Amino acid sequence: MKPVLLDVQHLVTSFTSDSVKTVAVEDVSFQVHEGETVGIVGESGSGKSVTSMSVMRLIEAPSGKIESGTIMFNGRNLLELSEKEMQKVRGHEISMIFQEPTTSLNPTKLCGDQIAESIIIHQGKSKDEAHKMAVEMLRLVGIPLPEQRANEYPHQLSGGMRQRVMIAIALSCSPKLLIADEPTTALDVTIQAQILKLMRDLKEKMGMSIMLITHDLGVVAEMSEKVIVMYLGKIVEEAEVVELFKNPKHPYTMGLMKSIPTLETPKGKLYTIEGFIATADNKPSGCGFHPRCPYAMEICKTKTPEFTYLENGHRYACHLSEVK
Amino acid sequence: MSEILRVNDLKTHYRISKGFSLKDKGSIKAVDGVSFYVNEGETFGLVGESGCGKTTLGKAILGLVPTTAGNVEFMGRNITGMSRDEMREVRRNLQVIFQDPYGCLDPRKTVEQIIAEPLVVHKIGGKKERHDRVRELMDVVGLSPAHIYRYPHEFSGGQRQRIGIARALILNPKLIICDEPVSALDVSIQSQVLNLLNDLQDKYGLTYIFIAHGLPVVKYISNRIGVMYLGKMVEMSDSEELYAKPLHPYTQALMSAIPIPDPTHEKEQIILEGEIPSPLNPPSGCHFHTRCRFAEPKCAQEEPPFIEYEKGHYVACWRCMK
Repeated sequence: MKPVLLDVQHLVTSFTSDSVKTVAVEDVSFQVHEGETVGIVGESGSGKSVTSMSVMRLIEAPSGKIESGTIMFNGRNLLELSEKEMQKVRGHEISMIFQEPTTSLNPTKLCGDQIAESIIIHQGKSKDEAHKMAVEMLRLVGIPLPEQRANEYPHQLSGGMRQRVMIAIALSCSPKLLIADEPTTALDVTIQAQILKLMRDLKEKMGMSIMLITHDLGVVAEMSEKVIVMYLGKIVEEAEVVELFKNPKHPYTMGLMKSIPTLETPKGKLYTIEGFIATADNKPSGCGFHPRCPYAMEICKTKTPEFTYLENGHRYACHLSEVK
Repeated sequence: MSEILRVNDLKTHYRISKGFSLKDKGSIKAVDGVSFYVNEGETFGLVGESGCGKTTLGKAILGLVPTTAGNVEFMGRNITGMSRDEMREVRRNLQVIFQDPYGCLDPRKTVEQIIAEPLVVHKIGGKKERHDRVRELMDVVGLSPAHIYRYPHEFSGGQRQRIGIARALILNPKLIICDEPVSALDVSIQSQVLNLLNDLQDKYGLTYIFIAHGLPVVKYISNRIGVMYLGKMVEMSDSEELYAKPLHPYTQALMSAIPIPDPTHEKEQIILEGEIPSPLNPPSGCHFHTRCRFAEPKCAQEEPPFIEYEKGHYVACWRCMK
């Protein structure tokens, strides 16, 4: 196993509005190894995006707050860094790409300048050098006529091209960790396939780790080595990708897998997870999933389940493990 | 099975004019000569990516956007070019469910007002009858009738979609056009709504046109599927047949591009080169030739006709011309 690059332990992140505190991420611990792609799967309110924003320390104060925990990255606790030190980490050692390339790019700046910006800030290159590197980055992410595209504005590009520009910005300083938050959700399927392939190729080439946040189990299966499943702010299951899909243990993971139609799904009734996702400010007691769980027992309503550890790093949090 | 809807060579073009000059800058051929039919009681899926014209096609059938050419026959009548009043009568049997469960419900109206609105428009029933009918329908779509006085913001996405479904159902329509009804919903909620749509179809003998960009969902719910690309229908067939034997290179690529939730699955992925061209300036000949693996010179020059390759399996590709 390669060394650990990111080690998040007992992370708790909360938001306060109108003096009501909601805990969005509750006691989340996981590791990302060097060169590894970790998929984080979850639905609305699962805390997957808040987890990644916490790693970047982009939780907006004063309403948002990282309450406790440690985020060790490359031997340093990111939560202890000053804002200035953190700025050196962001965009340089850890980069992020977002779901919506249209709103994440600056509409008033040329694409080339947006890529050059982080090269100038983090690598101290001259404007000319940075611009040359920006063109190279555009070539690397597969944009045709990169010299010309560098001098265009984001609105002149298509959605897929904009996401490539985002990736170019994120990778311009060769980060050790790339956080990709739903990078292909806003894209068409055939364009999604291109971008996913590009991410795989670039990961190979640059040897970085990827934290891939998505709701799409298909994308996770195709991209990740390890998968973390989140529900209502907590990790409910974690395993290597093949193991998770072959041997899911948590009723939520199982339900999710069964309820998604694939091209092979026959007609007839689809499996469904009953009920709806609770909101973070109105979480059920005990196990957050119990109101929707087909196996819910009395204990699930009162006690939060602990993790059960299996071989190969497979763990899941469910009271059922104690029954068997 | 009898035919309930037939679309004949339908075209919807949007004129583009820029700024103050009214000079014609050409037109976007959002739907450019599409023909298909839908049988009573079946689900017809329309699948395609952004800009393929699937939503415009749905709107054109409903008469919500003007038709440039061609016509739509619904329950034996030509409904293209009808007056507003005539069209209103037609829409008793022709309803729609929209994608965005947040945008399509008036936030200032109660659930009762929203679901009962079609009854008000068509002047059906009195206050009491409407109220009872709304409660009945809320029950049918799995909402608690006790929530009849609530407002849309008090519901989750999946529940709002159920409100939209109840509104579409209240007039007992024959055909419902579902435009991306589950795309905005969470994965675990999608299957609930898909099951509900299936149950309602069995119960009321509904016909659906199901528009979506995700092929797995479309394939699951549809009996027959039409695949669209840049305003044209490129392939149409029974859904099992389409999956087993996709003929058009675009359908093949679309299918292979879907990420499969099985990490051990080995597949040969066809990754399409390039972007989806703009419908303002589509490529000559076969619109797909710029991204097609098999493109030949002929494809750039001449548009392939939409032919019946095998019984019930239609395709527009020069490679399929025997």
